[in-house]
Amino acid sequence: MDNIINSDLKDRIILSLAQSSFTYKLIRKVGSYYFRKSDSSFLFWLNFYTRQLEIAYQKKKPVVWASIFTPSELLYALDLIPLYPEMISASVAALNLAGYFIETAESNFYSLDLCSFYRVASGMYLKNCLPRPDMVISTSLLCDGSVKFFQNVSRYYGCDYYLIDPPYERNQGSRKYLINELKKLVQWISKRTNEQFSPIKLRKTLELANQSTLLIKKINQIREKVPAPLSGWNALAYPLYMYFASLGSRDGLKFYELLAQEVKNNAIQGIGVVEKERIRILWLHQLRPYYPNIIWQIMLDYKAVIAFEEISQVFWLEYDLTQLFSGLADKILANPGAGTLSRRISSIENLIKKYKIDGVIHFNQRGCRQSCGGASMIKDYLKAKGIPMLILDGDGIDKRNYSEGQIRTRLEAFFEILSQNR
Amino acid sequence: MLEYPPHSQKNKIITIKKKPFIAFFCTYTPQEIILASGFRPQRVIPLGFDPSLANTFLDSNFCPFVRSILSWAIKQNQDNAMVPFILVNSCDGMRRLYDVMSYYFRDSFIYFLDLPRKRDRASEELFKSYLYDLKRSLEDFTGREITDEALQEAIRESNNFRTIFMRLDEMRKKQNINLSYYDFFKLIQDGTEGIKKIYGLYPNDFLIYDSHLITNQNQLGEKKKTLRILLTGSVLDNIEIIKIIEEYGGIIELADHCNGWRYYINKIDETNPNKIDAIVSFYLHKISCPRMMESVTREERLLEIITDRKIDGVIFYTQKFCDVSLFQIPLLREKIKSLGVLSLCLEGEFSDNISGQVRTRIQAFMEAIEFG
Repeated sequence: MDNIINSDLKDRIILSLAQSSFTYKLIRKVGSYYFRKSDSSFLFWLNFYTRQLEIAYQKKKPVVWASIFTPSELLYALDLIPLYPEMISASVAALNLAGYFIETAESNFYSLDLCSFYRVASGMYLKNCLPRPDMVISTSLLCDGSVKFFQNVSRYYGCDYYLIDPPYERNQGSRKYLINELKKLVQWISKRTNEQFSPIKLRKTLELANQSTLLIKKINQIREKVPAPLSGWNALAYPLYMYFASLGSRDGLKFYELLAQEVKNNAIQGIGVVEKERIRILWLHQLRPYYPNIIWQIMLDYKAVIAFEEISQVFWLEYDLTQLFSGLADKILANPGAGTLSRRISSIENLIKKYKIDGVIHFNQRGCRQSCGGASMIKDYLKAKGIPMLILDGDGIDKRNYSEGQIRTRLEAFFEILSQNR
Repeated sequence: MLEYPPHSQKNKIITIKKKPFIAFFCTYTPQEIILASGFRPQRVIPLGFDPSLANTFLDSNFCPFVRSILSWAIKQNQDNAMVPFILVNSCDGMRRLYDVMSYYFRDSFIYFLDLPRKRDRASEELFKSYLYDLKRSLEDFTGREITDEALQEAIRESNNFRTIFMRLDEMRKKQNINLSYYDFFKLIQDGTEGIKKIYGLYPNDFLIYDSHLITNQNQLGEKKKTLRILLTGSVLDNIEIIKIIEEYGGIIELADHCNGWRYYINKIDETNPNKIDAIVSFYLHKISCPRMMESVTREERLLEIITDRKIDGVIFYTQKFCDVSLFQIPLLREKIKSLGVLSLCLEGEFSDNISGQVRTRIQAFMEAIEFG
């Protein structure tokens, strides 16, 4: 009985906190004070993230739930508030609340073989702990699970869903198809918001995205320096959120100005992520464990640093402001994770050279088929080139798939080898 | 259990089986184009090829179907059989399988066919362009033109095959024949292995008169109260699961897997003058796989079937790690529950043996329906 009362009380507390826009205002205020000594870019992100949730709950603008590869530029041009459930799941894990939502999802028949990012997000909507979407938009880029997750969301809330379904091949036919898909999407959104689409607004957001992209490129260029001026471990946290969620917004531009300045300052002063850096790692896959874990500590012990992570690369060209949709289509088709694995391998090879990499770690997110499925082939390829690679099985969100002993043994053995190679 | 085919037809089947074949794995592969190219389309469902043998190339948290295909392909390669393959971009697993196969089996003909998830006009046009490209590639491979006549003939042959199963299904539904679902499914399975033409030759015999094909009433014994089960999922690997359900007092009304009901329930429009258009329309508009956007329609059809055929219980039998199927379960299960029908979830692992645990779960499920 006690458990039932406790569980009911816990539900109510979490629900009332999550559903109140005031909560996010409070987190912002308290967070700004608590993290006052942190980097300005982090504080800016905290402000951006909580404000988006606050506005979404206040219903000041139509809310769209979007997958991470949905072009945010289009959403800002149409004055929507985008929410990214996959990214929210990561922050929930960082707050140590993922288990609660995973339990909810699994008790509602969401299999534990599904990617934990979607299980947490499913648990969150099943508990009504996220702002209700007015529409749902996703792409089928890289991930099958994403399409079905967003389809379920739209059915759960009874709102419309638009899927951007990019073809596998990157050619003129695919490009034409995708440009039309994006044009149709704009009409689809306009119809639902009763707002006329403005090409001028889209041009403006593309211009902002171009400016942000230029800064990301600059940051990435500075990161080539030794010692590494930005921790890849951190880059896989809040900067990653901004990478997916902020392009095309003024806030995005401001964020990258701050981050670029911080990275530049570190590089000028020769401040590295670790003292006496010895091992430079390329981190593969777009995520890492977001709950407390020992990986970072082990890296510090071995003076190892994630010099770069494959997800942060800029693989797209500057948007042509006279061809509003073609640049967005090109960006989707240019994703190194799409198409054959050889595209991904070729981009990894470039990064290894550019960032003077000693070893590669592929984080095998349990439940991520597209990425894990290629890990062995990438390892084979790199082995032939004499580049050591470690496949590290784990889970970014679900702590049950985290084995501290196993991770320690594997990482230490890997770093020992890399130390001897130097 | 059935003993088929009749002896008189055996030689014909063996001859056709000797015809060079193109292996395919996904139900969205346009077999009619393969047939028209002069090859025998053979759907491979490689039960008995240990999926773990593929773990060196693919992650162990990967669909056992995909890993079994790779194990099978490795075996073919070891036997120096240069098997031509057609893979479809139907899921993340198939994409990675294509990467592995094109990397390690460089000398084989391996074609990767893209497949849109939507079925609007633009997606149809896109798919049409892919099919023309496949046709060209097969023509280059065989050195022979694929004519409209050959396509028409292939379409007719496939339609005939599907018609037989539609009729058999209808007869089973009306209880005009007493054909166990195990036998029924085995017939479909053999047909998809490329011996459709034989079935097309004597459908009437096959349907009504051939005593070998229709399980004798006496074989099943006196009719007793049976539980009507709907089996649903992705690809059905081991049909022994059907036998087990039948052993525990269930009658499978339908298995809507891609190698079951979904394979034969739609037909290609033979009157369409543009054969590729007809094939495009068939594949994009048929009852879809959970991967497609229109999978909701399939769910609606399943709910209709539950009511229409007075289903007592639903067993989800999907392949482990099949994300698209796993995502479909929560909402569908809720809807099934609202109809007052119980459901059970089982996972396939492409294993020869059905584990004791699965048997126990099926038994418990049957008891729950019977006494619940």
